[in-house]
Amino acid sequence: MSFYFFINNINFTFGMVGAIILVMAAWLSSDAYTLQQKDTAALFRTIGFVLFAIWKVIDALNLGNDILSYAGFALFIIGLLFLLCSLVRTQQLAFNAVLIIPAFSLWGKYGYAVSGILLLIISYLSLRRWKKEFDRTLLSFSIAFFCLAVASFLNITGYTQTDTFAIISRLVELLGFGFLAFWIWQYMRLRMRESFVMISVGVTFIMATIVTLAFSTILINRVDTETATNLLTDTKMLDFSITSLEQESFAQAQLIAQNQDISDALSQNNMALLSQSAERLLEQYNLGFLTITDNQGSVLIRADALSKRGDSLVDDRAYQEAMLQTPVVTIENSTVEGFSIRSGAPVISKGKIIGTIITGFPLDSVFADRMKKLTGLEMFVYSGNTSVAGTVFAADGETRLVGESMNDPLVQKTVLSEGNDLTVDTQIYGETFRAGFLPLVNSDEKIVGMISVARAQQDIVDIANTTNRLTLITVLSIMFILLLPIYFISRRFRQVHE
Amino acid sequence: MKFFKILVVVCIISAFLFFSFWISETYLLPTLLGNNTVSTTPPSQNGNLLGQKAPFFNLPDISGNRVMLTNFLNTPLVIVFWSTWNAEARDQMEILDTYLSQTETDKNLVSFLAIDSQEDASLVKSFMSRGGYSVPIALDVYGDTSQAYGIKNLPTFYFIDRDGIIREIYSGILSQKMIVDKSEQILKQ
Repeated sequence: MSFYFFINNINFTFGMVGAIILVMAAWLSSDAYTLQQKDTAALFRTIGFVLFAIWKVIDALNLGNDILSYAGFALFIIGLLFLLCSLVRTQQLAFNAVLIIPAFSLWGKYGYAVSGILLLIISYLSLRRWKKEFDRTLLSFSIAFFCLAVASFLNITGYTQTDTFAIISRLVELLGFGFLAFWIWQYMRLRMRESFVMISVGVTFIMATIVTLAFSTILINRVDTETATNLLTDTKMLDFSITSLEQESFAQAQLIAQNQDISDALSQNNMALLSQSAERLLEQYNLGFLTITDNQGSVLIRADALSKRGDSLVDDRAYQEAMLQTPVVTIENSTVEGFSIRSGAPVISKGKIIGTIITGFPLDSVFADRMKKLTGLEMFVYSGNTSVAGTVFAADGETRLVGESMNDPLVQKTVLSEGNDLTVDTQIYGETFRAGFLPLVNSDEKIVGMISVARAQQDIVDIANTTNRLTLITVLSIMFILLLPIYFISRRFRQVHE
Repeated sequence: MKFFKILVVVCIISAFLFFSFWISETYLLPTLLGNNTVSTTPPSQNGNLLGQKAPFFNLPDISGNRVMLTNFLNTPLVIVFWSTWNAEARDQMEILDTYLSQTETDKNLVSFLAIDSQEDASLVKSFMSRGGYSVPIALDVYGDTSQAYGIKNLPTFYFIDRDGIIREIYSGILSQKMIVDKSEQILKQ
């Protein structure tokens, strides 16, 4: 199980524990409201805790929906205002409340800053009341809200779940909920029936959380293992596709080299015929590129880029081998076609080499797009350790993420140095991916790059979150149905007692 | 009771603000979050075509069939000029292809046509086959249509309403979201 998923589940657990404690606090306050002749402060406290609990549930479930997050955060702030009202009975409350209203329009650090201030005010006011009214129970309440305020402030700097500040924030928040639970317990221990029902409800939530976590952990481990296996299979399939393209390129270079039109055009130096034939053959054989050179290595025609000619390919491996009449297929870098599968064959007329044919397929983003359509997975092509093609776009939906160096030492050692395949969690453009790597070798069996099939770690965590939500709802429904008899029995006890 | 009234007022204002932002999510929230997805059209290359009838074209597709502007009468049309040698235009093909493959053809109320500028059919065919793209293509081999539309940069989009009037010209790459936004705008016109 990855660290990312572990943190995700910890967040879920802490969030649910917080929600359970807040629901208990709301229950307690509603009971106080009934008992204390409809005390408005108790009513406000109840509403405040309920809204706070709703936010905690939305936060814990990590729904990934902006509208719901806004709605939840708005409820959270309104809940804090209700809690403030339950503590203060002076005009200054209205002033504070009006000042913080614009916070609804903001998200992230601003939202957390405002909620932190509100929580701090609640903590301060409850502390003041503790001193004024000698209500010792309020001390734990004040400490709880102080911890929640600190957690909220820490969240300002925490951008991701795995950020250090975000992790500390969750721990401080849990501590805060611990103090809140203690505050509730001080009341509950005096009241048997409420304790009984409350403990049952609390146990229900805790059991639901445990079952949910157990299910999602089992499932995610399974998904994780299967993803790793599938990724390796997919990279091997990709390797197979590249091998097929190599063979195709090799065979087509031989065929085109024996084409009579090409041979005639070269021997007669007929550029019009050469151009016409090259274009026709490019389409007929469905090639990525087709280059024809003379026997000195000068490019006479590029069927895929008619304007690019006249340059020399004497350093090109495919050309060199073609001139030696030892046709070869290789993967090399070229100035025009880039990182590509290349194959060369000589054009022979009257026993003399009059030119060469170089065919192949660029291992570019077009190739990557095709592979993505076949496998459904994101993929990258690396020349050395630098990505030259990929299917992943940046968050703007316009920029293709290529050009990054793969600096993971494990990948460099296992794939680029030792030539073995590897499945590993790695960072690509700041996002965590589960990726399978396979080395790419040239005709000399030298490693020239690698291919990678990747799946975003977030996709796997999303599966876990969906499982968490569904399991939680199911288990809670079952547990509450089971709780109904307990509720009726406790009511019967009270009637008998009265 | 006084506090209760204040609280009610606060809640009403809060709810009003929240729902205002919610409803105007497309415009206000992205602005506040600094993630404005509402595109700003860069200065058009041929601004005088805006609000004018789209120039007529009659071009072959990669199978040799004719594609004419009049084929799209009474249907909003998005034309994108592109070329295989241009990296941004190549990426645009992938974005457009993904968008079109995710949208059911019968539910797509806007037609799309990618006009390849000044390249041979063999090259375009090879490119489309290599990438597995299935975007409708027309070939402007001699560049007459590109000239009529005043193309200077690739890719360039023309958003044409159902009456054949050019409603927007966008030069540069467009994300799927922007394509949807702009297509919805011409649907409303």
